[in-house]
Amino acid sequence: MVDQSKGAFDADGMFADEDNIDDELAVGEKLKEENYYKYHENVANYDPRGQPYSYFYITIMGQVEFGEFGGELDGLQVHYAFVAGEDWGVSDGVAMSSGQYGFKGQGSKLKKIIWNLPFEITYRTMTPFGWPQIVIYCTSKDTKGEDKVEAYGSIHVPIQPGMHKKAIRMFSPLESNSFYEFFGFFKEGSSSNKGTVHLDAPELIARADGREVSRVKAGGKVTVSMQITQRNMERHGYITTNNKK
Amino acid sequence: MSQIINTPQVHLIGEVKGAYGFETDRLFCKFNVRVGHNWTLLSGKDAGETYEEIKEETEEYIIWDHPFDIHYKAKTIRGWPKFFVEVWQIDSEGRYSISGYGIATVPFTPGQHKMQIKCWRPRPQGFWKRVASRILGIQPELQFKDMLLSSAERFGFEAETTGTVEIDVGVIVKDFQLHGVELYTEI
Repeated sequence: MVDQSKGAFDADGMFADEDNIDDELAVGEKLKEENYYKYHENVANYDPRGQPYSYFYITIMGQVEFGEFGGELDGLQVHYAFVAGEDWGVSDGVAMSSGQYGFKGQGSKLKKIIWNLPFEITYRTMTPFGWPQIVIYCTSKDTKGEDKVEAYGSIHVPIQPGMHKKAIRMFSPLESNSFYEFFGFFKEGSSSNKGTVHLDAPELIARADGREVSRVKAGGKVTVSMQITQRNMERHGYITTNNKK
Repeated sequence: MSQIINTPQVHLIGEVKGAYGFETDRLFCKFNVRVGHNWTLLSGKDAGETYEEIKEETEEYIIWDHPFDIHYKAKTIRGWPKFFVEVWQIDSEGRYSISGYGIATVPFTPGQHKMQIKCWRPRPQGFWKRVASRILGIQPELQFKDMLLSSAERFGFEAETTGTVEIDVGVIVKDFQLHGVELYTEI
């Protein structure tokens, strides 16, 4: 019970002296409908500088399902790499991996290259800026037995939690000097017409700068299905979906 | 009870996916995001230029997949971000000419959205100018683009329809509910 003699009930308001609040009474006050917004945690005194150091987490789980390529493009090994901004850190899982060499089926209807390469990664961060992107690139072995990049593409991971199936359009590099300058690496003495390009930095594909100087030819698409889960984003105030719980 | 109110923030994360319905095979796109006076860009680039893409004749879709990641601070709802795109075409001789202008407002509701921006370009005036446009590729361009962005009069000039640009955008909002603004539609 509140001690009336100690002046808890001031002329200004009911709970002027916060230390004297009885827990039972406070809960009753909070549950009253007219006080719903007064005590709601979303309108509570939220100063980001005063908060304990806390992250929010995004978990991306899924698989690189299959690819559809026209023409003679066959025997491709798929690689995926996750690229995110500077404030993002990988909390669990691997960001890069490679699949097997896939060939089209022998029937006339089997034009897809099926890899079924699963991935699972959890990122932790304090800001949505630098949202992760998934970079997919397909390589094949050239006549020398070395890896040659045939196609690459990247998209942002969807921000809305739930199941998503995305088709990533793939580009193949066109032979032109400005393209080699853009990537910075090339093999000398290559025997094929296209030239061999080594890709050690998937971030270069995911970045938007410098794209206006290169010419590309679109070829094929790769389907990726993934599900996104988030933790602590609502506590930081970020709303990523239309469904109010 | 004192409250520290945070300024609402908006994140736009996605790709300028591509275009369809344009008559040529070689296109690139210059896009920028315009906001009102009370909005501040916190991080990310709000303008960009995509790859120059050469598509096969059998394909109907030109793909750019140009990523963007923009972070704004908003003091008002008025001035919500708008995408402004300019599609340019390159003919077989390598000459650049305009293929379309388009503008669209980013959706309010948080979540993943697909925007389709229908584009138009100024129509050449007079029969001979139209012949020149078809044969020589001379296409009139807009010199003052401010008229596109405001709702002021467009002086009744003639425009012809071209294709559609598609943009995949994910909208994340923060702290709008602290100011009593409801951007949800479902409960």
